[in-house]
Amino acid sequence: MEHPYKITIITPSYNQGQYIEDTILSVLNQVIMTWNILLLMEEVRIILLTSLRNTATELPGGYQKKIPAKVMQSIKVSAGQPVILSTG
Amino acid sequence: MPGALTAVAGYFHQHPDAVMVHGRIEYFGETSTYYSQNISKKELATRYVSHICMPQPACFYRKKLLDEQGLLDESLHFSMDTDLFIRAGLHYHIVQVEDVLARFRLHAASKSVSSFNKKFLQDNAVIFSKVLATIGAAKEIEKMKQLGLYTEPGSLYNRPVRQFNSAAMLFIFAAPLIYPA
Repeated sequence: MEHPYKITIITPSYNQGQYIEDTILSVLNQVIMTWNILLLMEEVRIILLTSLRNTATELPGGYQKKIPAKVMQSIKVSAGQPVILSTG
Repeated sequence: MPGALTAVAGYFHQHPDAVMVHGRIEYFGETSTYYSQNISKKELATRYVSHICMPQPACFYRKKLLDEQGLLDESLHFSMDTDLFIRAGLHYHIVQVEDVLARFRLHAASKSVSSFNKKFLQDNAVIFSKVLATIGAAKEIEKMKQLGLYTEPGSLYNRPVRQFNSAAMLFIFAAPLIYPA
């Protein structure tokens, strides 16, 4: 029986790309079946230029390609947390 | 937190009139792990419209809150969640549960860890000023002005149907500032 609730997890990430996969997995491992995870990422150009490894521009683990209907990504440049959450 | 979403869906099913469910949170970092504690349910309705009294990552809300009360206030860099949750407290039933519903990683770059309390206070004073103006609490607005905390709001929240104890609200908001721990 399908669960009657649809849940969306909106996760802003700011230069913390190393934790994103843990975050995605924590949602994937939930029992409930009808969730979405919408990952909103904020980029700062200077970080991209100086420390690319700290700014994830592609979701780790290929989740976005494997289950595109459930894992979505939106990149906002220097937008601030309220803006990216509202985008979600 | 494993099972959290199922638990949340269950609570919403039990409380069809509730727009928000909030629980406890596990904080973890490099050196320690600890859990938030829920505050007493007594006066919760007053606290919901005075300050943020629950850990934000363990808050789950229905889309109805955004549809009816609007999206986040993007002018608030630090307390946009407080602003949204206060709108929930003004208009809807909120359910507090004992479940640990989220984990929160503490690290030096986290806004909650690295930012000055003063910046949160500035946002919170703007929000609380707007609440008082919305419910027409003239006495408390005057006291906020005397404390140097009042900011004339550019807009108001939707006026709630419910009545609130504005004197108690002011005490909850201002006491930690006047009598810091």
